Amino acid sequence: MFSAVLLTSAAWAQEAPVTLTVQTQTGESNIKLFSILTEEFEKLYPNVTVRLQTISQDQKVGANLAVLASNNPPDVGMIPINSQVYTQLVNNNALLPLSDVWEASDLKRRYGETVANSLIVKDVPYTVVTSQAIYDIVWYNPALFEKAGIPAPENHRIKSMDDLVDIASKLKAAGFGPLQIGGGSGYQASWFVDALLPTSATAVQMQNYLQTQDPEVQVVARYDDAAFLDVLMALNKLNGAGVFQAGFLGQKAPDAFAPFLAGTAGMAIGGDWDLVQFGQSNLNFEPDWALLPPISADRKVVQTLYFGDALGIPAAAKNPDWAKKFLQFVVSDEIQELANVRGVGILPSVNSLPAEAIASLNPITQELLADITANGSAPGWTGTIPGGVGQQFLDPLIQEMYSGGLTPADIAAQQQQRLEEFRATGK
Amino acid sequence: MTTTSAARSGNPGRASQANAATIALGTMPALILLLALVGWPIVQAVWLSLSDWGGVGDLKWVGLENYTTVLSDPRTLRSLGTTLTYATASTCLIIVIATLLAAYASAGGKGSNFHRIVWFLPGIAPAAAASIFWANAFQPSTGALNLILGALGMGSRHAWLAEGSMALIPVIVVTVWTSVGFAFLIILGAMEQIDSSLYEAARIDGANAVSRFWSVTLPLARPTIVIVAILEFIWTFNGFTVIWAMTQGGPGSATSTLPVLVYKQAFQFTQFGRAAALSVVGGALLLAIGTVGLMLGGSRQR
Repeated sequence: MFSAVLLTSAAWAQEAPVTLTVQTQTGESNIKLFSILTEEFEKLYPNVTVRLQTISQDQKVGANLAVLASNNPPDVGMIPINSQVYTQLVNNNALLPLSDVWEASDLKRRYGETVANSLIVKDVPYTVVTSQAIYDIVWYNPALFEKAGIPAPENHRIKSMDDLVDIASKLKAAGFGPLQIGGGSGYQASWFVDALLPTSATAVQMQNYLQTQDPEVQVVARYDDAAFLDVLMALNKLNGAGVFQAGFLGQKAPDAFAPFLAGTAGMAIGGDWDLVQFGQSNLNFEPDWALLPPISADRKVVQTLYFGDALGIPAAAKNPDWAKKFLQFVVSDEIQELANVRGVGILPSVNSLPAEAIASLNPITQELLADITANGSAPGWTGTIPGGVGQQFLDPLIQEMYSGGLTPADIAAQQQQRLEEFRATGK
Repeated sequence: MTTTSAARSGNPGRASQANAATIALGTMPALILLLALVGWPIVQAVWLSLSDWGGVGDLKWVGLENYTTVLSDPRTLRSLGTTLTYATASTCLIIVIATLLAAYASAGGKGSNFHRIVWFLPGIAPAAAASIFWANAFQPSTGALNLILGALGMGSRHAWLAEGSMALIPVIVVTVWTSVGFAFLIILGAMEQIDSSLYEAARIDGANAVSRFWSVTLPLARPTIVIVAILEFIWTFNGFTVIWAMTQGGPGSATSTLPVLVYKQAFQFTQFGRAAALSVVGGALLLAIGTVGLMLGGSRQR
């Protein structure tokens, strides 16, 4: 498919000049990825100039709606599928359907069922995803673990909540930071739900939790059921036991992560994108990874996946045809390997790359992927459902629970009420 | 017929009419601008508050439903309480500090020129940058404040921004730090307008510096102080940048003032109608407070 596009590039080179505006989020790996995509696309189509428009994390899930719904939007917008931005744009037909792009790029097969289903609304896809991320990884410093007399987690898994509490206590006793989290970031507090809910809920319940924002789906699993409540109670217990660093509720993610990079904190919550930062930070240790403990001892925590930072074309985009070409370009196997894998060192969004391409990824990424092959993975709850009933609603409540203002039962009840309101109103 | 010719012809009624016409014509451009840039957005905000809108697509009329929803939501009342606490505490501190500084500077105290410059500098720094700096300064163990307190033996693990009961305090401190300079300069200007003969007379009567401040300076500067206080209250009530940059309304909703709630309703939950309703409620409250404030304030020159 990509070769066919290449053959026609000579013809396109004679076309009138076009400026294609493409959004990307700020951040080292995003900027690097989109810079490579821009350069390669412009090489292929010399008449096109790609102008990158950067937006922040806050803008991505909020104010960007006004930009994308305006009569002068970018040609390609960054639209997290777990945000109200996406929900409102789709519900109001403000995004172009991308069935032709999906068909031309065979994306249903190349994304796999889980990813594909999360991107299709009533049989129509409106976005494509350019990369996948693994998060809820507990990065740890083996050197500090050794100094504190803590054995490395077997098979990269912390066995139980008590073990996690014990690790944190030993780290603090040795003068090191425990588990660093950006409690004030607006998203990291609720990340823990993504890792723990699949170990508390049954497969049927978990599937239901991921879908019940759709009023046509029957509610089988309520948020005030034990499955969800047990997760909140476990988090409250972790906080009470001092697993997180002092002042975590007043820290954003970079502030919380800094002591880990500096080698003064034993653990930090993060994702595979941190490997880019590790490479640039001249660490004085070799970080290793582990996963959070399960709620039920007989369950196993699996890797949590996020594939929600999607690209879509606003209905009022000035260059929709070129925008579709850009999307087809970025999901092609050649560009996924060139930009994602070899250029930035992040995971591709498609599963069709040859094994030797994946083999060039960071060794830790290889381990994460091998773990997924052996033990499976799960889409994160907050990374999948709309933010208005998910992350943006729940995260402040969890913060308040950590402050002592709410109980787990209070949160569970409010979450269920919010679901019912969302099902009734769509927002 | 001009005002002058009307007056010359001995017709005061006509002169008055001509005067009114001139005034009306002269103020028309400003009135048009005011209506276009202030009046029309207010009308639109009120219209939006009576509608259901998700940020894209058509508005749907819902009447007073948004007001019923927001006013019966406990989060709204909590947020109003937080906003009033934040605005009142910040304003009081700004006015007290600015007034004392202005009194010192206007009396020609040592280093008064230095104070005029230094206290204004925080006001010209970008609020977002200042807030991020201070958010880092308040961090436990590594923040500048904790390092200083630790060196003084007062502990270095104070996590003010992480505790619901304390998080508003650093926010108030930063707000005062960025705002006191402007208030200081305005109040100083008012104090420097006071006739020095009044101070002379008070001195002759045996009044010391403190007595002169209470009996001469404060009463005569009162109208300006009241105006500045009202303005500072309005600005802090509507303030968003400092809080969002430092806490984003957290931890939980501990520093979630009305503007933060409006932002979240609009941009995180795409409930623009409810956000507009909250804005109208806040605006009405400010109008009432401002009116009362103006009525209570007044010159003591008489």
